[in-house]
Parts: sequence; structure tokens; C-alpha cells
Amino acid sequence: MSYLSIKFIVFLIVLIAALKLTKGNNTHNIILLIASYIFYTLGDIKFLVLLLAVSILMWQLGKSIGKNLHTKAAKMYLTIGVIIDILVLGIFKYFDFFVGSFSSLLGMQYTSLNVIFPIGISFYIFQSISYLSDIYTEKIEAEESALNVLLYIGFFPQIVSGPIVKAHDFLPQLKKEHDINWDGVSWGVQRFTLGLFKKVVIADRLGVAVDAVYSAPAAYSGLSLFVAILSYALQIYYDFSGYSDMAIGVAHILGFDLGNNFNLPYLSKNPSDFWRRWHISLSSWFRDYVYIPLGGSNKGKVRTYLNLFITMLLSGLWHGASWSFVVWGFLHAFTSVIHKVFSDIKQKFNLRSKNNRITYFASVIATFAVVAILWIPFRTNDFRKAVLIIKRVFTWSAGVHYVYVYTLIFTGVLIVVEVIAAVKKNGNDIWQPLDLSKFWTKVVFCCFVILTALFAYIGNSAFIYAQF
Amino acid sequence: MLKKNLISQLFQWGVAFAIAIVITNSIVFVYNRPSGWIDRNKGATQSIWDPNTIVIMGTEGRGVHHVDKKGYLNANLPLEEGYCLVVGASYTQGKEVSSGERYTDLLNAMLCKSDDKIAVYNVSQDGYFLPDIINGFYAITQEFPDAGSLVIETRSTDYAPLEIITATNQRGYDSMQNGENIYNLLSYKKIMMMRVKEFFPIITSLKSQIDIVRLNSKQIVETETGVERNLDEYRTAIDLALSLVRSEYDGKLIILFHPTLSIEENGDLSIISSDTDSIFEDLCRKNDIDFINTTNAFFNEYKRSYVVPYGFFNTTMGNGHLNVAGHQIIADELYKALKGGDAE
Repeated sequence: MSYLSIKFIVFLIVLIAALKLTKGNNTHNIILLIASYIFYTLGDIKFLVLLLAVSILMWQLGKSIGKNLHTKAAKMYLTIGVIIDILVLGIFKYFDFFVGSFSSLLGMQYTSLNVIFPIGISFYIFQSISYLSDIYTEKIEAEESALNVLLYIGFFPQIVSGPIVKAHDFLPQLKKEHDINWDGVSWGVQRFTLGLFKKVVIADRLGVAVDAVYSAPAAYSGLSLFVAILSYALQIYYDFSGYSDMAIGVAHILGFDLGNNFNLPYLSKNPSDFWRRWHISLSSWFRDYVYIPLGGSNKGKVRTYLNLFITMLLSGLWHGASWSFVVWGFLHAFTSVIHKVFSDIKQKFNLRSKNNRITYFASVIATFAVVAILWIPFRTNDFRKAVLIIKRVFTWSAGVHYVYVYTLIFTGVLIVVEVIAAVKKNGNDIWQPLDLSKFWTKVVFCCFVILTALFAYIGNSAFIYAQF
Repeated sequence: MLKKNLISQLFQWGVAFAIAIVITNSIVFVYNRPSGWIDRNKGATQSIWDPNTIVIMGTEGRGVHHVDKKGYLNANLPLEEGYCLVVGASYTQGKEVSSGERYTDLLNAMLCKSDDKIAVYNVSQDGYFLPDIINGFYAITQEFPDAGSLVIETRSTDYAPLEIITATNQRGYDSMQNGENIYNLLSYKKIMMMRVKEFFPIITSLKSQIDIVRLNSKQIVETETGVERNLDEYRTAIDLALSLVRSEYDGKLIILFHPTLSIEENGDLSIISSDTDSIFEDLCRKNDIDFINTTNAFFNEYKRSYVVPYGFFNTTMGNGHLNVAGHQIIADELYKALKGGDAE
């Protein structure tokens, strides 16, 4: 089921009514689990079996880890669990890619099996690993009842495209009373509406220009391609952060806090800063469950760079089963390591860069430029096309002149928001819910809802990150 | 107390929503404001705009246009003797570009001998394609009897023979349905509805959004691709229609054909052509009708300066309606044809 449907609104209203009419934490969790599986089933019923199987297996393995803490058996159960998770992800997401790549390397022919990609698998598998790891590291206790584990892994607001919530952040919330009150609903509805606006008004409209130019880059001028690169950088941000806002909003209405997934990533000063602001739940997942277990920064400089490199490379591969994503991850890994090396050199020799507004904005622009360029292979999924685009931009080639008006408008909006954030909020997100008990804030909110309906680009309800 | 508070909150939401509608309506007013339509069954076109109003287009391109007393997008000026009448669909209407940039306006500027008269008169309606034009051709010649030349605009030559044959059964003409007289036939309810639509363009915009949602949810797949056209039947039908049209009008008759384009992955421009194009052109020649095909002019302009005739900076290039460059190319081609020069 998509958030962008009347069906979903009806579903949510019925769910809220059911939660309001019942009492007791356990009853609420049962209702939420049933609702989550209905939500998932309405996307595609055949994947529910896999979700259930993974969830029950993780619950059992979690119990085994919990019972055997501080023994080798716990580590064994954790390893088994992680291997199962990786195998499931590998079979459904990467099988064709890896086998196809090896076959072509060995000069053998390979006919793709076209394995069906289960919705949200990249997200719930990572939550499964989080559950087992958090028990092993004693951040949480193993759940005796399957209900909470099933609900944690299958919780509907974030199962399709995240945010990836860590077990130690989410499971304690399942043990509290879910109070659906006016403040929570007001906050959640506003956040959902903001996400809806980002998705249907900004991202989908920008997608029109991106699709047109990226489908025939040889036809367009260097300037047009430059604008298209900018458009895609904005589109993917607004699309994914819009989805995250909707998920966070829905969860908040139901009394859950999923945390923030974006914090003005295009205001980043360097590649490391970017990954602290972009898809925060994924970056922090990789930090907690890959980078730190690899040794983090505690095993010497070279090992730190290697750990960082491996983490970023895996993060790239997580996004999709193709060499483009591997290269994209590799390039991000490379920029992050280079930045880390320079930071270490500066620290070692006690070199201080000037901390003024000009250097700040210059570093923001430079980081954005690198990120936007690296989005090109991400979007094209085709090296030759990516190279062609970069070449045509840098040689300022002649071609069809196309400066998409909405790219300019939404870039302007983003710049205004980021300048305010930089000046007033120390570079952090400026969003705050309106106090809807006041009359004029009601007017503002109504205007925002009507404008969203009026300027929505209707025709594309797919979310970019749902494919990962 | 609780009940009173609830009623007060609901009242506040109601008033807030009403104020929000007024505010957003004023935004839509300057962004995209269609005028009211008046349907009719015995006129040059099947409907006209509400006369003497303003039409603003902002969703594709950008244009502000004045509706004249006849209900078409022209200046309210008298017609020059032997003026050129141009009939067509939304491409001819040219709402997406500014007044003065449409091919009819450009041609008018080239042909007009004085500033206080019109040499090229635009008679167009959204979705008014060739079969509709054939069907209303008698009414066109009656509503505009003094036109010295007549241009019919079409983006396609590929029509079902049955549709064309049906269209030759001409509709009648009633002078009471002209823009100047039609108000006498309208009910107060219809006039009120038109005014509401004009002053609250937000209604049209929201309705259009809902229609798109409905259309998307139905996922209608209606395409004629792959349908085998019987070319003999097509030839007979078009010949019948063109000879009829020719017989009803003595002046210079031109069919303006501007084909659909596509920007290819390798950067080339390709024309989406049909096997009916050459048949249609031959039959025009047979019936003493000038056939202007802008294909070469479009190609040449693309080769020269990568200009595509369709598309806008607020939609996509190569698709949609004619842009300023497209209108200019067509105006140049029409001028050459009307002045006896060779079209490209």
C-alpha cells in the first residue's frame, strides 16, 4: 500500500479508531502488528511469508543469544543470524548481480533468474541484524514474546523505505502505553503533510525534467545537463526525505518516535558531515554494526581508513545490485577517506583553517558539487552515459537548451532554508510544528494543504528508495 | 464545556479553510485562470470562450490572452479585407506563449497593413482536430464568409476512415450562436456558473487534479498502435472530405501539418511519421489544397541551433504544445506559402 492513496488514509483512520477504542499495551501491539501485515500484504502478499519467516527466526535466535550471553554460543547464534540475514538479502537482491558478474568474468553465459525483489527487504533485514546485535551487546534483552519482534521488524510506517530503526531505540517504545493524543496527531499530520509536499510537489515535478534529460543526454546542452544534475540532486533528496517525513509523521500519530533521517544534507561541510546528515538511520546503522565492530578508529590510522572505506563501499552496495552502485559507494568511500586523511594531517600539524562564513559556504558548495556529481552514475546506472553527461557538462557542449524553471524555484527555496538554518540554527533543520490551537496557524496549515493538492504532480507515486 | 470547545474549534477550522481557499485562489488567479466555456452546436467551433474575458495559462509555458467579442483569442479589432482565417486545435490557440508570439500573431504582424485591423484571425478550440474541423467546415465558412484564405492546422494525418466519413455530415450554422449573440441563449444558471469558474479558478485547478488522479487509477490503455489501417478506405474517406471542403470554400485553402517529434537517446531528432502522410499530401494536391509540411523546417532549425518546436522550460522539451520557436517556424512557413514562396 502506498502512502499516496485514499486507501491509506482510510486504513490509518480505521487503525487510529481501533487503537482509541481498545486499551492495554499488548492489545495495541497486536492491532499494530495486524495493521502492519495488512499494509505489507496490500503491497504484495507473497512476500509476507518471507517477512514472517525472517522475523520468527530472529526472535528464536535472539532468545538463544540472550540465554547464552558471554559464551561462545552467543557469538555463534549471532553469526548464524547475520549469515542467514545476509543470505536472504543476497539471494533476493544480489544473486543475479554476483552470479552474472562472475559468469561474465569467467567468460561464461548466464541467464538471469530475475529473482523477485521483496518490498522493504533491505530495510527489515538490517533491522533484524540490529535486533540480534543489540541483544549480543546487551543494549536490550531478548524478547520472550514473538509479538514485539514481529512488530519491530514489520512495523508498517517504515518497512518500505525506512528509516531503519535500531532495536534498542524501538523495542522500549513497544513496552510503553501508546497514547494517541491531539499533540501527537497534530505533530504527525504536519510532518506527514510536509513529506507529502516534498514528494508530490517538489520531487515528482523535478523528476519530469530529470527523466527527460537523462533519457537522452546526448541531445542536451552542457547547461541543460548541469541543471538536470542539480535537479536530480534535489529530486532524490526531496523524494527520500519526503518519504521519511511521512513515515516519521505516521509513526508519531501512533505514538512512536522513529528519529530523524535527514538533517539538511546539502548544508554539509565535508563528505563525513554529509553522511551524518543524509539517510542518518542507514549511516548510523553502518557505524554501529559494521564500522565499530571492524574496529572503528581504535586500531590505528591505516585500519581506520580501511574500516571507513569498507563501510562506505558496503553502504554503496546496499543501495542496489549493480556495478554503478558499487562505484558510487567506492567514490564516496574514496572522498570520505581523503577527507579523513586531510583532517588527521591538519590535526597532527596543528593546522587551523580559517573559520569564517566564506570558507564555510565554500566548503558547503564544494561538498554539494562532489555529492551532486556522484549522483550521476547513481541515476544513470550506466557508466558510459554517466561519463557522457560529465564530459558534456565540462566541455559546455551545444545541444537543446532546457533550464527547468522548477529546478530554479526549488533550488531557491532550499538555499533560503539552508541560509536560515546556518544562521539561526547552527546548520540544523529548521522545521518546527505549528501550534494548531491558534487560528492563524490553522489558516497557514490549510493554505499549505490546498497548495499541496493544487501543485502536486500526479502520475508518479513510486518512491526512489523503495527500489533499494 | 468540552462540547463548546469542540464546536469552537470546528468553527475555527471552517473559517480558516475558507480564508485559505481565498488566499490560494488569488495565487491560482495569476498562475492559471481559464475563462468560462460556452458550448454550441451550430458555430465555427463547438465551443467558444466567454467573450471579453482574460485567459491565463501557467501550467505549460506562460501566456496571458484576451478573448474577443466572438469568443476567440484575438484582439478586438476589425478584420482586414481578405483576411486569413486559421482554424485549429490548442496548437493554434497557443495559450502557452504570450499574446504576440503565437504563429497567427506573428503572421498577422507580417501581413497586416495597419495597426488597427487584423489580417490573420485565430479560430481555435482545445482538442479541435481535423475531423471536427471537417464537420464544422460549412459553419466556419458561414461565420467567417469574407476570409480571403483559410488555414487548417493539424498535427496528424492518421485518422480512422469512418471518423472522417462521419465528419463529412456537416453540422449547420446559426448566427444566434455567435459570440456577440450567444448570451441571449444562455440561462442565468449557466452564466452564474461561468462567472464562478472565472472568479474561482481554484475550482478548475482542483477538478483537473482530481481528474488526473481518476485517470491514473483507471490506467486506461487506449492506443491505436498496431491497428492495421486500410489505406484504400483511408484514401477514399480523406478524398471525400477534402473535395467537400474544397467545394465549400473558393479562396486559398492551406492545410498546415506540423508533425510530432521525439528527441532520441543519441541526440537526433526524429519525426513520428505515418504511412498516411504521403497519401494525405497527394490528396491535398489533387483537391487543389496547399499542403505545408513543417518537417524539414523543424529538422533544419534543430540542425542549425538545437531548437525544438515543442516544449517549455516548465514542462519538457520536445513534447506538448508549440513553444515560441515552434510558432516562429510555422509563421515563417505560412508566410512563404501565402506569399507564394517555397516552404522548406
